Amino acid sequence: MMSMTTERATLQAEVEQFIYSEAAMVDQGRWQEWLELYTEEMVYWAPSWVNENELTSDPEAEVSIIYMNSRKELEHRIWRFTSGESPASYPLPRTNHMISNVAITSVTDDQIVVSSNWMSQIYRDKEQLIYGGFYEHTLVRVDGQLRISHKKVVLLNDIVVGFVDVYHL
Amino acid sequence: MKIETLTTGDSGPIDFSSFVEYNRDTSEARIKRVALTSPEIFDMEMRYIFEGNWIYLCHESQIPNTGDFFTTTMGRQPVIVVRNKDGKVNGFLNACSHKGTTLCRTQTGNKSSGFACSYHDWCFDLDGNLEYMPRLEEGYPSGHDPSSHNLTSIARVDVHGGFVFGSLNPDVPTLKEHLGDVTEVIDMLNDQTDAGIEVIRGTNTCIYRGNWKLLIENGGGDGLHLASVHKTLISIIGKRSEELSKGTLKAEKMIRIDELNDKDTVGATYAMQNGHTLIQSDLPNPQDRPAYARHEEFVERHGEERARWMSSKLRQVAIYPNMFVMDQLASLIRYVRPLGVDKTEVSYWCIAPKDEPRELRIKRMRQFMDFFSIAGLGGPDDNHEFEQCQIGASAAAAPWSDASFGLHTEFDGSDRRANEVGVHDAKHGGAVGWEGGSVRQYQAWIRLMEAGQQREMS
Repeated sequence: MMSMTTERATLQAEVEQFIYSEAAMVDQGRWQEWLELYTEEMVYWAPSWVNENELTSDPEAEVSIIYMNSRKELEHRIWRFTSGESPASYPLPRTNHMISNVAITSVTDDQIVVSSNWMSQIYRDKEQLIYGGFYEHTLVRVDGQLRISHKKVVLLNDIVVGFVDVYHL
Repeated sequence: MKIETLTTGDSGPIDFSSFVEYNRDTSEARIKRVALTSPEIFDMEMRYIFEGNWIYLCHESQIPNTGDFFTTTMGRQPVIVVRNKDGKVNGFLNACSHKGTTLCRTQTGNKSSGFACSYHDWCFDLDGNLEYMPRLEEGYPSGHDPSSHNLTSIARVDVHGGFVFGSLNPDVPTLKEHLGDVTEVIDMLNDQTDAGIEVIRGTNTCIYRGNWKLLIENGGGDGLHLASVHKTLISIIGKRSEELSKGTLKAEKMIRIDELNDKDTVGATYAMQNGHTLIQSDLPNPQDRPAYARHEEFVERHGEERARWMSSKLRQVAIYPNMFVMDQLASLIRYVRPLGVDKTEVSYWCIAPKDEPRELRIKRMRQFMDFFSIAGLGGPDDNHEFEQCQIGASAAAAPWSDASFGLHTEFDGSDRRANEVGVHDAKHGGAVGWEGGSVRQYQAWIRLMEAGQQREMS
């Protein structure tokens, strides 16, 4: 039997690898695989800023940047930005998501909550954008595999260039 | 002076009337693209329009209490809008009268005890009066009058139905005259409830790399772009509707803009006074809007026709030059702040009745997010097209944009539908998509630019 410390280190490594692989799927445009990382009942939420230091806290009744509460919505969004028919997303930018400070903040029988810091380099039309912020992933096990049931994305920028989509974040 | 010489630094008078050509006999119009690309013209727009006429500043619900302030800009000038001790809305340049230091440094906040400059501690009350200067006796001769250093007020500040406007130029008509019957459409929002309307918490702001007029034109009557630019949104409306009927989705129903141009969705676009425009159209599925829940109450209180406009019609007003009041796929203020000739900041503020039940608020919020958020399924495509228009406008060998769609449908004055709800002062109108809205906006622009140029030269 593994000690608690070893068990925790194994979980930490598994979670880190999972979060890095999610970023790789986005950066490599493996959209179907990425979609399948999410549970059907998933919530994807990027809150808005209320003022210099406060974010909105009620995704249902306050303004967010993105709020989706089913995987279908994410599927529609992926369809939209890969269709070539959305001028904002054609051509798609090259992206590079860097993730660090991965920390497990709670573990229960049902779920693991993981916080991390992110930064993305986005290159398109001879221009580069840098966005960054924090992630909070809530992970569950489905048939032994880690899946995302809730993802909160904090974007530090409260003014973006043109627009943002999930591939920027 | 010829337009071609604009970029050469020539500073002679510009013949703005040459920027629009409209032939009513042939129903053809075109607009000079250099209006989008000339830094010299942009500089004049700042002086003559944004710093020389009424512009929208903020909504009263953003400053509900004494001392609450909101910072923004008028043209290139930083300003503070603040509620004073009597509940009145005041406006000042955000610059201390001593050395010009900004007094308010956050978007919103409260200064109920007045403004204290953090640089040298000059203090001002909420009416802009200089109340305190440190070391007054030793620094200035006796009899020194501090009131000579009061804050500089925004020359005119006035409010209609919660919407706060200001002008740095005192020599403008009243706000009521400036807005004309556009106020009816603002009133339709306010008439939904005695509780008033509010801006919902959370900002959504982006900067597109294009001229401000591209957005004003788009929202001033471009009904033609829906089917092309918003093709993916339209597909998603269909997909979502299908999933909702299968029960595989929890999202809210969207407004069927895919059916908006059908023959039975009666609508029109109107060019109002002073460059404002109004679009109204029946919506195919008004029952899916939050406001529709109160339709019967609206009928009782405001009559059948007004109730129909309030609950069931798309209403979009462009209040020239810098804001839209929109109640269509969602309800919002879209605020436009020019930052440079090819750089424009846009904020989307969702608005709603203050006393809205939570389930309707949730529905409203989802409809807002679906289209208008900076990551929505619609707005991003518009912004991207504006950027591409800006690039194309630099192709100076092709100097004109066409603006002829629907001009043959143009009528003079208001039509019956507009008259029925008190909108009598439309100058012209046309079927939805009529590009006359752009043409008339530019004609208003010409009047403002010519008047400004005249003022400066005399």
